[in-house]
Amino acid sequence: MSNFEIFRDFNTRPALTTRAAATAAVFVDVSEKATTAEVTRGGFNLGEILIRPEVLDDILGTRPVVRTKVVSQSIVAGTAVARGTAIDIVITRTDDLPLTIVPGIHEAFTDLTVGALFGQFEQNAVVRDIVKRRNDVGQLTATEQTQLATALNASGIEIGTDTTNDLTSAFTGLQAAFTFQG
Amino acid sequence: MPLVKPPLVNEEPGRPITAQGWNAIVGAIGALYDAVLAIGSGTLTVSVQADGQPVNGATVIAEPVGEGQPVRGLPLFGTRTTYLVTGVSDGAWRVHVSAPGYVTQILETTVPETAPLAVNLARAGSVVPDVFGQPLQGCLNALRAANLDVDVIIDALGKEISRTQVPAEYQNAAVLMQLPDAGTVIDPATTRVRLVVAAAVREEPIVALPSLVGLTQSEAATALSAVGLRLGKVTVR
Repeated sequence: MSNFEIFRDFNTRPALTTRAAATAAVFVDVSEKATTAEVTRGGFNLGEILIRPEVLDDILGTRPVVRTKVVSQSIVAGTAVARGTAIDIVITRTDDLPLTIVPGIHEAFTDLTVGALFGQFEQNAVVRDIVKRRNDVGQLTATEQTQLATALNASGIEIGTDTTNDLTSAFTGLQAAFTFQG
Repeated sequence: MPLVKPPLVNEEPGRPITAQGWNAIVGAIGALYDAVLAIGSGTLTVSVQADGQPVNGATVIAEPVGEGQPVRGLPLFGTRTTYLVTGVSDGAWRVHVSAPGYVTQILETTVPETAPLAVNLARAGSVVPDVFGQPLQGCLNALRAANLDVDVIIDALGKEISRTQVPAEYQNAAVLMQLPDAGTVIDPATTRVRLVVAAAVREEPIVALPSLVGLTQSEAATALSAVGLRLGKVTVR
């Protein structure tokens, strides 16, 4: 007779018996096995991939170190957001990005990549120091303005008075290059 | 003995002095000696202490038990740790010792006294602890432990703070000022403490999102954390 059959006739109280609770056994593994962690993705275990480091080193050794920087964020800067909000970002290598992603740059920079402009002035102490020390072209002293214009002229970049070729546009492009590549 | 100046008259030069006149002079000189001796030339040293330390700023007045005028003791000066009462004559004296924050004591002594008269003053209330800079809640606990009640609490902007149920944002606010000053002895039954605390800074739940462009991933995470935001999904392209 199954338990179901016992309770099918509700008018008849079946003979009920109680059982003593079984003592729970605790097993302790004392063997000297290495601790392993199982990694899953989508509910499936991921197997362990072994790597031949000598082969990998040969391959990686020929590749340049890639600098990745944030290029966009899910919420525009300056927006008022509640504390605790998660901000999604997109990062990418920036050396091959065209400088035209930055508005208001000097016309001489429009055909250059971020990496190219950075490489052109990375070792120029005058340009490098001014761009790293100042956040805005308006912060440049008269001496720094002259120094920056002179350094750019020496590199074949003419500084004019138009918004497409003035010192502000040059500083904007240089600042972007040093920020993305620095 | 009160000193009374008698009527003094001059005689013409060359005139003889009688025995009666001479005796009058001798009697007057004797009376003068008695009066000067009654003023006293002795000293009385009074050691006024509380909790084993000399009490500065006490007032010590010695009053003759019999006839005479009370004499005020010199305050502590230089390296002296005892009060000095000068011009006391031999005999019984009643010494009154009082100091702010202490119960006045009256003792009797006899001059000359070789050892300083020791007076131990008892506090007339509770000592206000130094709570400057302490968190408000800790300060209130310290004052309660000293049997002192707080009358009014205001913040630096003049806003009154509940002393019975301190708001959470004020519990760690630093005490900027206290009345009365630390160390003052007050009667808890009549005097309460007033506090000025720093204004609580209310954390703004809304923040302006900074620009993350040009930062590395870890720099972006740090920048977001600094303003109370967190890094979400990171896409690498």
